[in-house]
Amino acid sequence: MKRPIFLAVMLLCMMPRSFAIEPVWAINVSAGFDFVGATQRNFDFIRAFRSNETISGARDKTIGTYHLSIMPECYLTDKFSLSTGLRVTSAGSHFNSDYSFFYFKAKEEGLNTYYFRINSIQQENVYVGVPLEFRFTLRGDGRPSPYFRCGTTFNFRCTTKSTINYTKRYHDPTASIDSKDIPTADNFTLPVYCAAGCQFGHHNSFSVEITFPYLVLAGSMSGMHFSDGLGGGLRMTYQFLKTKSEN
Amino acid sequence: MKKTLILCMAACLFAACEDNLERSIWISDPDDFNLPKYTEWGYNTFGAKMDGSYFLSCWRENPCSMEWHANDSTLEFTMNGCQTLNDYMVFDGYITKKDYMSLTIIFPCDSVIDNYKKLYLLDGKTIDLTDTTVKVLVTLESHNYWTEPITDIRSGELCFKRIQNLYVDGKFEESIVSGTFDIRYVKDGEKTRMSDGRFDIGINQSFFW
Repeated sequence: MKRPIFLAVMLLCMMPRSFAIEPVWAINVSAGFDFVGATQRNFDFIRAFRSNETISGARDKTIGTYHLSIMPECYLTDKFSLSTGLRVTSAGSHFNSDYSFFYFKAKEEGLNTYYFRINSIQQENVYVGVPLEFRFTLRGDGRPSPYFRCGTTFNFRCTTKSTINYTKRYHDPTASIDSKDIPTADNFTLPVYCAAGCQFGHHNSFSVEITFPYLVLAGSMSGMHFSDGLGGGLRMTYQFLKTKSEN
Repeated sequence: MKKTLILCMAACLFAACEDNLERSIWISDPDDFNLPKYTEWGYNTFGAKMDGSYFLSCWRENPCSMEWHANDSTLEFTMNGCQTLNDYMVFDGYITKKDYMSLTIIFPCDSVIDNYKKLYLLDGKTIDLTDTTVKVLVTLESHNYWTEPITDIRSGELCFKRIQNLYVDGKFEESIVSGTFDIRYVKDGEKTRMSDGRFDIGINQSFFW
């Protein structure tokens, strides 16, 4: 009976010192861009581009996003950390056809139907989100250290701006489409991503990472597209105000 | 000479990049992929089932035309297409084995429709093809392109479900004529039936005489 207790106490004493360290905090400010594969949606107000291409012609497109974040990071061990915070993301998309323009059905009034020739529709959706990320750093001793990150962001849409580019050659400036008629992106999106990067410095540090894969699990960041493809990106982070470990 | 050739090629390339309203856009009917879906966009398609084959627009630009006969106040509506042959296949309206065929329906009008901008007067109109004032003509490649009147029509109707005056960028461009048709007739002792017929065409100045 005494021997198992003695062994358990020995094992506890042999546990890695790192689990006994008080959590270390830091503040991260980061900026980056990501792109995600997308498919143009079908709309009943856009004339088909070609035979049997559903309606609007599904084409390989991308949605480009830029983001800026401020994120406190908590080092649970000297290698493993958790961060969250606030992120502002701007997602831009571009809708067009294979031809120089496409026909947009603006309205129907009795026997009259009105089309406009449109070059493209550009849309920018701005989201405010709460990221949640886990990071594993290979070295925590201040030398340049590779790391791996995975995470998600709970994005909530704030604003949408749609710009309609009319075909200048034909456009009658006295008539136009109300941009409110252009569908907006989903109010909530949930991108998930993994990343690999390298951190330079210890208490104040700088890191660069490549994000891949990047995919949107819920919602779409464009009213004109489905965010249904894979993507990736690049992020740079400056870390400061790192508290020192007490051990 | 070289410059002229380059400019011509550039013009042709640019023209090819324009989305022309006269193009035929085939959207297959989900219930029968050999037929175009009934649409009201002016996609320049038509189709009908025909006793084991199909009468289709087969990729033509503006497969239909209209002509006003002032002498007897009749309007002539012609669908130019093809009839599928045995072992045919249909790919987005393109048919691998076919014979030329056209169907012409001439019917009286209460109002004068002497240009394409007045086609809205047909909106919602149904023409009874068994009416003695209505003439139906068929032209077949297999009959040496001879246009033959159909005299023994058992039943049939041509329905103009919707006519739209189409304005593009504020300018009147064409009339979109959409509807359905079916006909049962006997010719040379042979019974023929066209059913589930539908058309969706844009008629502008070039295709209204």
